[in-house]
Amino acid sequence: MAVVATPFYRLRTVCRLHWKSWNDEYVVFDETSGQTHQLSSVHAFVLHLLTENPHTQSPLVSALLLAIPSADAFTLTEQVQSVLRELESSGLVDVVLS
Amino acid sequence: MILADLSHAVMRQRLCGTGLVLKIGPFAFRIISPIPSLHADLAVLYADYPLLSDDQFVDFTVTIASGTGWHRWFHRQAVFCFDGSDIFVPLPQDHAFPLLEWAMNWCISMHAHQYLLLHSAVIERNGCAVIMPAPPGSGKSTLCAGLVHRGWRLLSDELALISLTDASISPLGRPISLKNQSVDVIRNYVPKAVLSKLVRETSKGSVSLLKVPTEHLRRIDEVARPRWVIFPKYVAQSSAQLTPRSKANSMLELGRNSFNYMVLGHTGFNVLSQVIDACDCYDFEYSQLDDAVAVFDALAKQKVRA
Amino acid sequence: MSSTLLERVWVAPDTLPTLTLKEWELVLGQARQARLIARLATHFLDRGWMSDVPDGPRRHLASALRLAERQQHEVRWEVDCLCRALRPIEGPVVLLKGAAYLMADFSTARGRLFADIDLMVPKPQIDAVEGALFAAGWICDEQDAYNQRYYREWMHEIPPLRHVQRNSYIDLHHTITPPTSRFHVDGAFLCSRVQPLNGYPGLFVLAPADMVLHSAVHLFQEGEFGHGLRDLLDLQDLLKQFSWQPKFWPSLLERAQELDLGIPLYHAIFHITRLWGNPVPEPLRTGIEAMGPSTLARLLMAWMLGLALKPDHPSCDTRWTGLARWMLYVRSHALRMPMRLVVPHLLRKAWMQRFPETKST
Repeated sequence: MAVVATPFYRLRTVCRLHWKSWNDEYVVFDETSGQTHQLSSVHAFVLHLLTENPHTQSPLVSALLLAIPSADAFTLTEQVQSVLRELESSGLVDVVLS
Repeated sequence: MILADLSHAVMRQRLCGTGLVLKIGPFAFRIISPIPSLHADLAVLYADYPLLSDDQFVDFTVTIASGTGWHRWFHRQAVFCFDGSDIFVPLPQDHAFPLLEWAMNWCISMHAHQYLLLHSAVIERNGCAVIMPAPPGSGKSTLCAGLVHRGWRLLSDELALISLTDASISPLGRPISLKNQSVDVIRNYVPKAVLSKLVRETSKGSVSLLKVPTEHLRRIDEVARPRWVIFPKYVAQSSAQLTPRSKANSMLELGRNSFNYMVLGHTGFNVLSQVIDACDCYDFEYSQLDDAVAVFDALAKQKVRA
Repeated sequence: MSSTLLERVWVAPDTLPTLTLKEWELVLGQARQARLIARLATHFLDRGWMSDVPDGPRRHLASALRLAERQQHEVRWEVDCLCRALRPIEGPVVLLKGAAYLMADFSTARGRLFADIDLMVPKPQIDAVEGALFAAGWICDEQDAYNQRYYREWMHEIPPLRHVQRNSYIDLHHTITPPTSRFHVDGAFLCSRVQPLNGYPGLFVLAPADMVLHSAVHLFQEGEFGHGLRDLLDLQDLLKQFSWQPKFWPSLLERAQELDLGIPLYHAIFHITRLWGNPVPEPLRTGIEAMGPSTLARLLMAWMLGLALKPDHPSCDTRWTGLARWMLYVRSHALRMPMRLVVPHLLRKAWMQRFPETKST
């Protein structure tokens, strides 16, 4: 029987993050790469969760639904996929197949 | 003792010999150059700067030499040397004085990592500073030159020196670099303006440097607190308009306009965060200097934030 | 010959140098040119001497420390990025020089200023590695056909690879000296003894003796002597780092003979001895002596190298320094390329420096 690997997302192990925020604006600095990123509130929320623990996609969507009860689950799922792709291409997040 | 206290002969002797040592902002510069046009502009633009004695520590020795090699038989050149190496490509000799300014900027921006260095103008009133970052061609220097002659103190035209301990800004107080049409604009706006000889056909167009008001130099050791970050843009025929700007976005833009934000790493991030914490951030469009002055005057009258 | 102010700092490393403000200006200038200013600052910091440095010079030392600290982070980031890019490659992928010292936590990495990352891979893997790095954003900027040929056919490396976003550089080698060199070494010999880097699967560093020999041959072959003093200090550090290993010194001599690198090792030990005393255990000193070239060659090289290894700063120049440097530059090219190739190559290099905009035909 084939086993399908589930992708886990986590903060890239070599990153060391420092945060700053004003109202709903977020800036994060990674000490290792020296890069500074401006993040939307959704990007920041997802990245913060991944800093604490690796997650697959669905707990991230669930956490967002709790934070934004009025949101539509399908739209949110697409948004999370897009956010994870962007965080990965920014060099902040790694994908690991379990 | 200031440079104006030296006779021309003694000044030339030092410049052609062991060097002339001046205190410029918090730095000690030793200037060495045999080039007469540089001597003439230096004597005028730096007349009020303190002379330092030769037994004091000098941060940077800047040599603007005559070019060597076969070129010197055809057209005379000026070359910036530091630690025995040529730093930039040789320029025509009449570019010597602007080259000196660019050389001093290079020395500070490459080595002075005891500050967060922003590529921006900084002016001050009532202890509160406006940081004005801007790419070339945005009219920042024209605006800075205008404001500095209408009640604002010049801290710097090109390089903001931000303390790593408390984010205060130290004056550098160097002449303001004006290009192309802004030279004429400022000649009209400031009738008593003292300017260096216009140098044409530099990589930045025609360049002339504006002397800093003497009373500003007397306050060279007085720091200021950052209070506003304003991104200026000259837009022909526009009315003077301040538009609030995102703090996060302003922070990233300031980082991009910094010489050493990347070098300072975590410290740079903390200091820049402090600056943005303390500042209201705006975009600013203008076309007439008088309108701009009025807007800045109104800004200065705002109550200090709690 | 007299040692410079900068050399003297490390001649008596546990004595606080007493310098006038003028001497501080000179030392800082020499250190900047020799790319040793951060190391100088670390030297003072580690011994608790920073508060003894006058305010003016201390600010410059502190600035240099900030730069060095930042670069260490950046090198770790680059190594992480290239480790990920090269995961599919059958290696070994070997870090060389500064990046190796940093990732292996050697003391010589403290206060170091880094430039490019040097990598070595087996020659058959060069294309695959270049391809994997390209996929991860490192591109080859070199457009000039002559320069491409210079690197790929005659040298032991491909043209430098630049990362499109970060502007960091990788120098990719398949051995430590050019194939046309008098001191040619087959990369396979080196790869057979590499040691894994903890925490970075697929990444390796050279064996201790090979690391020392690489440093020695690089110093005397590469021709750019502005950093000679730093390279000598690195060598001295490496020898101290490895000396505690019981069989290190005999293995170093044996390996030098095996790889025919006795002459560069001899010269390296000679100059370390001249500046800081002989690091070689007494019983092995005649062995090192025996590796040297003819007496005349020794005298000439000692003179040339002694001058050229000083910092490239006006305060260190004698009227002979320019000549010594030029002779060594030509010699290093002769060592690296056969004579029939050297003269046209040097002419072309001089031409390109003068007229960099000229397209090659």
